Amino acid sequence: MPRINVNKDVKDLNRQQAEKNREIFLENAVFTINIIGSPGAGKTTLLENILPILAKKYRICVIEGDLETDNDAERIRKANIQAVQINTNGGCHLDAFMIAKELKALDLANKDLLIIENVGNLVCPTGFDLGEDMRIVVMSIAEGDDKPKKYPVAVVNTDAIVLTKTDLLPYIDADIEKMRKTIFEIKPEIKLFETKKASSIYEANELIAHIEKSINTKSR
Amino acid sequence: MHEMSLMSGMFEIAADALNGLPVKKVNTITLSVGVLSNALPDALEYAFYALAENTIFECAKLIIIKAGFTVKCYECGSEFSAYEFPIICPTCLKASYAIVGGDEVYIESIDYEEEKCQE
Ligand SMILES: Nc1nc2c(ncn2[C@@H]2O[C@H](COP(=O)(O)OP(=O)(O)OP(=O)(O)O)[C@@H](O)[C@H]2O)c(=O)[nH]1
Ligand SMILES: [Mg+2]
Ligand SMILES: [Zn+2]
Repeated sequence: MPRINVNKDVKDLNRQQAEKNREIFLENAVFTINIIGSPGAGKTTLLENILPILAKKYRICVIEGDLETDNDAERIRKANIQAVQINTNGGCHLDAFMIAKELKALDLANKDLLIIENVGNLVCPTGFDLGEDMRIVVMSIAEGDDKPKKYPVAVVNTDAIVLTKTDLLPYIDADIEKMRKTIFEIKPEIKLFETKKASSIYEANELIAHIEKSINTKSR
Repeated sequence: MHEMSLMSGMFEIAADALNGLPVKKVNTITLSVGVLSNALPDALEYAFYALAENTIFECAKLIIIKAGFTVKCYECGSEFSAYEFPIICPTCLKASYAIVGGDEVYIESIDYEEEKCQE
């Protein structure tokens, strides 16, 4: 029986498109961040709070990925930031082709920063490069302190992790020290940030400083 | 269910590889799936048989080989395979490393039956 040796990675299809996206971002001098985390981890809340601060220095646009609704894009627009919504209609992740389709509408030539909020899911989006410069995984402490251990691929495949909702630590049985330790065990060089929202003040200064530093390093 | 979209990519590449060959029917497709791919063998199989219907892959069998991931130690430079975390270098016992592979959904080979010449 004849056999043909194919020797090809199925993921190359997405990877090749991701490379094309990356070239477009580079040509337009746009820094791109892909934000991944489970449903309700606090991704949009994070953006609502850090984008107005980043918008003082950078021209920003946002792609929101959700199964249904344009609620999240609406929330971003309320902060006076351009946002387009992708509805995957059941699809569990964004891929590089979906992003490519949206780029025309974003006027990247006049932008400095593109933020992509992926579909709420800590598993599937981690395997799909969108062409981003930086990936941030958002995990709330309320999801349980065993999550880094249960989702190691999310930890391996990211540049930074943001532990959100640390204001809830007094009320929740979560050992944040254990979370930090497991995260560094899986990926020693990872950047780890912690944020909290308390009486309408959102604390994320270190994360904002890190994003600014990364943008400046790339544009140099 | 990102396995569905991975599988439709798989068929795209497989059809491409068979293009121009005298294929009567495809018997087996062998995939090597890395543990970091987050692709579940059961879900891949389900997607495979669902998408194969009414194509030249209709009666084909899917073979999945589970692959670990390759790690390169920053401290001593040795390369080794691992299947889970935490990772410690077996040579120098340090935990400072780069993961250099293991997220692939790799088509190794396709076995098929040839269309016999009619003359
Ligand atoms: N106490 C507290 N609540 C928070 C914090 N961040 C987010 N939340 C709440 O968590 C809920 C979910 O937040 P979202 O920002 O919508 O979460 P998301 O990750 O964007 O969710 P999806 O897009 O649906 O996956 C909302 O009710 C937020 O108000 C925080 O730091 N502290
Ligand atoms: Mg959201
Ligand atoms: Zn070593």
